Amino acid sequence: MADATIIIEDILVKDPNKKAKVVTISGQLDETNIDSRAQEIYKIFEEVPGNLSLVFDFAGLEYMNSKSIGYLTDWYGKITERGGKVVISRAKPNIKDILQVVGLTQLINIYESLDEAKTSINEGVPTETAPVTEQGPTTYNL
Amino acid sequence: MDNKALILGISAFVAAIPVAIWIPLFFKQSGISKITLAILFFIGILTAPALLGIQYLWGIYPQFDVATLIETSITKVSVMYIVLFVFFGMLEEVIKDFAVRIIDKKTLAVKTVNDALRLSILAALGFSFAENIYYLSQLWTSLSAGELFGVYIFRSGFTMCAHMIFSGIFGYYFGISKFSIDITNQQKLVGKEDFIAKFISNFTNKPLAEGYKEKTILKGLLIAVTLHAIFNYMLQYNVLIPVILFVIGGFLFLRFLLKRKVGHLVLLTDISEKKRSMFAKKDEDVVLELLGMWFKDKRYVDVLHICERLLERDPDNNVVKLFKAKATDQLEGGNAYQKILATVLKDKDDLSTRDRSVIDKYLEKKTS
Repeated sequence: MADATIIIEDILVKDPNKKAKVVTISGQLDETNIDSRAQEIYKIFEEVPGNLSLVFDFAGLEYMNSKSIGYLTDWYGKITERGGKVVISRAKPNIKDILQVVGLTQLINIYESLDEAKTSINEGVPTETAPVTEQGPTTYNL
Repeated sequence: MDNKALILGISAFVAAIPVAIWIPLFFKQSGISKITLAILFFIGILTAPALLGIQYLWGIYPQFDVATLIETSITKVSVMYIVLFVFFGMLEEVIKDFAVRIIDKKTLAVKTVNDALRLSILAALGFSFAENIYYLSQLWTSLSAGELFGVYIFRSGFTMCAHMIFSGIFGYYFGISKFSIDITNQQKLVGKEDFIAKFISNFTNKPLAEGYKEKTILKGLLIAVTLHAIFNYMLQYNVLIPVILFVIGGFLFLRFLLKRKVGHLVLLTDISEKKRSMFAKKDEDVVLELLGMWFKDKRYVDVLHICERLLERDPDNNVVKLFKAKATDQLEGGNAYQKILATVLKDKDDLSTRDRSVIDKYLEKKTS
């Protein structure tokens, strides 16, 4: 089974009606783990029904399979439908390449740094990573 | 000039008229060299005497006379005719197909599925041209001028067309079989399981693509022979209206096949001219898998867009070309996407804006 880690952290936003999270994905997303990992992202949608924005930090992501791209498209659809935003930060060249060919870079902006990505979510308002939430960051090791 | 030679000359002249009418209809913009076409037509002409030659040999070696064997061993007349027509249909189709294979082997003329279809039609034209000369010259003295004219019109219009339909369909499948590796790869990506191809591949201990190839050829032969037998059977019992409807329907089907985007794909390229992919193999495989998934989900607009971008990186990838053509065929057939497609392919310079709008539309539609 391939190794994939997901860490979900809150980002502070000025608007109290909005919520934003950084989803840090590391390792390799493939057939052996993508379905279970995807469910964790869908859980966020249940917890935060509207105005949710996500920053996917792909700095440690080495490989994503076709299914994970399908999921990413679906997440994009669900979040934007509810008034949120999706951005990606620090994607490796091979991941960027795939996303570009698939056409997702035309829908989702990719930033070179995590700060830039966070800033874009907050519409120019400087941000800081939120202190650890009540349950703390969620980490999944596969 | 003696009478026989004159009759033969006139028969050949009048038999050439429908050929001159049919050829431009199918070969106006075929892109196949005229010399190749002329040679194939000539070989097509020779296939008819070859069939007569086989029957002549049966006269010398009656132990191999399959036709007499069928006639004598099957007592029920209607069944005997069916078996006889299936047998002769098979013989004619295989002989005509042989002509196309010879030409393709020598000239590599079949670069698309439609090339195979067109060349088969030409072989059929050659075959029925020779057949018409034979029948007209044989019936010259035994029929009245009016009857002979009737036979001529029927054979030039319907019989010739019927031959083109049978061979065209067989040619279409021959074309598909020729590109079996690419087609099997594309089918694999959309998760299509071909049990017959798998069985043939296991049975013959050959790769799956070979199994698919054999299955496709057999399928084409089976359809062509069945149609040929039905046509001959109806002619035998003089049911003319169904014969006419049958031929018109077959002709429209051929036109439909010729218009399909998949048929136009140039799948045979010179290896030395083949451009290298600008995309890492592992990454390209991910995108190809996604193409398969989305094609299966009928997300044809997305498939089309990915193919466009992928072909910019890997212009000679036949699997991508197949996906693109199939998605386009599907979109053109469906009403919902028809307008989108018109905008998709209109302006190539406006690719990114266009992509964004189409994908946005798709997502809106999906989430609504």
